[in-house]
Amino acid sequence: MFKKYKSLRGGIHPLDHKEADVSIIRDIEINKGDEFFIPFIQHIGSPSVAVVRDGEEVIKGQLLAECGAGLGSRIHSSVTGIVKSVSTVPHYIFGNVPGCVIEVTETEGEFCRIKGGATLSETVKEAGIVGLGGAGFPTHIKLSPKNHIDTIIINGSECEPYLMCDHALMLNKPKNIIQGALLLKDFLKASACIIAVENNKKDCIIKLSELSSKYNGIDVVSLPVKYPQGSEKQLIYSILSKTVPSGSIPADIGVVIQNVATVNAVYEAVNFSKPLYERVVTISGDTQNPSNYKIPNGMKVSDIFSRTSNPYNNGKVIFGGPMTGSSLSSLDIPVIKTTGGILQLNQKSREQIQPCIRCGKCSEVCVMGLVPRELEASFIKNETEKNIKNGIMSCVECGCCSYICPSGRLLAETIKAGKKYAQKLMKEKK
Amino acid sequence: MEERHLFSVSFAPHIKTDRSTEKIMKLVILSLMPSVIVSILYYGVYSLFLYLSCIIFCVLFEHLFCKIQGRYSSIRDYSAVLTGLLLAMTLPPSLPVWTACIGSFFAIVIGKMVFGGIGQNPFNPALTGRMILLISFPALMTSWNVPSFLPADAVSGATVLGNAKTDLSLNGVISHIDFDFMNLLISNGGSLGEISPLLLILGGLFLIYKRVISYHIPLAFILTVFLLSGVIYLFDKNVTVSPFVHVLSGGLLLGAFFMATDYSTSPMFNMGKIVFGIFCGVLTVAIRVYGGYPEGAGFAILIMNAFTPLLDKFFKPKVFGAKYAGNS
Repeated sequence: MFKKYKSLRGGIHPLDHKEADVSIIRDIEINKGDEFFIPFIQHIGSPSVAVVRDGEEVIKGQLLAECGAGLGSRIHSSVTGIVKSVSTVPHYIFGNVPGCVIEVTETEGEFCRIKGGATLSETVKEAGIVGLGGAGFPTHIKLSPKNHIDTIIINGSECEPYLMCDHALMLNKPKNIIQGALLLKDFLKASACIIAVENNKKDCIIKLSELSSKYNGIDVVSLPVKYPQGSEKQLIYSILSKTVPSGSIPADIGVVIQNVATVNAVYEAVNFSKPLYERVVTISGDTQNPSNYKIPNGMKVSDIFSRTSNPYNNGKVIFGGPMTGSSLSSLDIPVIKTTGGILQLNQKSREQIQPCIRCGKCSEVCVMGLVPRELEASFIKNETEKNIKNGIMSCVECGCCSYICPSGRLLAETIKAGKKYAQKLMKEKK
Repeated sequence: MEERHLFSVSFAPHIKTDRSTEKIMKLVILSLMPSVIVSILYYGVYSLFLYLSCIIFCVLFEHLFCKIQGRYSSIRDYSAVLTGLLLAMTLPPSLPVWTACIGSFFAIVIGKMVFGGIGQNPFNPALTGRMILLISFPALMTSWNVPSFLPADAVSGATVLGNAKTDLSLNGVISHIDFDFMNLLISNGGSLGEISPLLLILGGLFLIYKRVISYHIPLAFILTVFLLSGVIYLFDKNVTVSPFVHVLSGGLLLGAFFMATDYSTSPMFNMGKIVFGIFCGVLTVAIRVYGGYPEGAGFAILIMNAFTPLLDKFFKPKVFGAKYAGNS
């Protein structure tokens, strides 16, 4: 029934730990008096600019901050309450960032609708939609490509271990995703729309393909299970057998990729005029009750743990998946638009980093055909130019090399740092 | 004072494979165990003593070297144990312990530690040790003793390849080749590790199945030896023995599966591995047929080890999306 697709180069098969309950998306309990921290950076680009003041009453879905200069996105309130302060709030990567603190005064009631723009792209911008797969690239920019787009790929591969938020969404709201995909396809005048799902989510594939069979030009494909199957360039290669040249983006070869959660947000923005202020989050890891919750942006991790009967177990807390996520330094950090999962991991890290034994596994698993051990060695020797020549900027930071290294070397971590040096050097040269 | 909880913070990825260097080494040791046990059963208690002394000397030398250098002792990664085991497998069963001690010293200290330890050595340590012994003590290294459990007619003074070489040099033709396929299970004569070709093949397949090694080097190596010696054999039966004998006797299988695939000294990329294997095969046949030594696999591997950096440079994978290899 489903065509077999070729697998990406390299990649790994970690234990997938897909244990969370996907049959329902639970609502989380919000109490009066809860404090919500809403950062104005929940996307790639400049911080959004506040439009509310201290002491102002806001309702759920109301605009809190406008797009900043250049690349940016809007931020909406996720609760009804009083703005206690507009200053700085914690952020899971950047430390303290501009944001506001809202105290909840009312938990019932409808959300504030957006007006809706003339085009889909304007509506998306108004709703503050960003890529929900994890990167947080503003979606309205992606919907204004320079080239003609022939293919839209809806990414539901969700290849990271533990994470199941997209799975839950596809299973519970398949109609939203099909309809949202059609909206995007019509807007971009694309000839094909492909929903890509990894083979381990058969229930989603069946549901989505039943629904999509009514429409023309929309297909569901089942992909082999492998990490990082959902990485943009790898996904395009698997499905379309096209290679995105180094230094280019998928739009340059006429392809746009959207995450299923983003597509769902687009659908809700268009049909219910709902701004993006909440998302499905997988609460999982070494906990008793792995499950999927709809969590409003800005909710603190400590509140989430206590309301979902997943108490903090003194382990590592991670936003996102175990392969690319960031570990938290405090439980006061709020969930933002790009947070797909909150994991608690108790795995002990290696005691000691051992010397490289030249096994070549890092290069074998590298999806971009790099040689991580050489990049690492060059970084240590401070040979940035050599690293640029060896393609360090092509690294997609999937973490496979660090995962597989038998000597426990910090390859992906070092390469990430090396990319910063390479960027700096390339800027200086220009 | 309020107790403060410290969070565990690190960069992604937060999960890692449980296959450590130590585990890889243990898997290789495990895959060699059947051959080791059979050789001990066949050659008797002294061979066990030889195995143990090689391993103990290797570990001891590595530990002492680390201590003298004032760095963390690296013996816990089991690579010295593996080197000792492999070295012992290339030795004749009756070798005196003092010779094994010298071999272990050259294998670990000269073959590995002076270059900076694991992963830095250009030549396979166990083979380095063996070859230095072979060149320094040729008489000791080629005196194959008689098995202690005597199945009366299985007495053999030399290896098949050795016999062929002797015949050739004395008479100009190869007269007797007593080889049949029973020798696949227990071959008569040879070094400790050459006792059972079948068990070596099974051990190698186990490593390939476990993905410790890839099939490229052993396949290319063995196939090349088979085809090349087969061609030579077809043209002139008086020059060499049959290709089956070439593949199943001598150190070829031990070398192809366990030494040519040594991570530190073999190429990392698949194309490089294939070229490495082919040239190992060509050199092995060349030495066996035209060289002065009856056995050539060890020398072939050591010679090709020297080309590893070149092969790695030449067969570097193409960066995905790049126009040509090695550039972004």
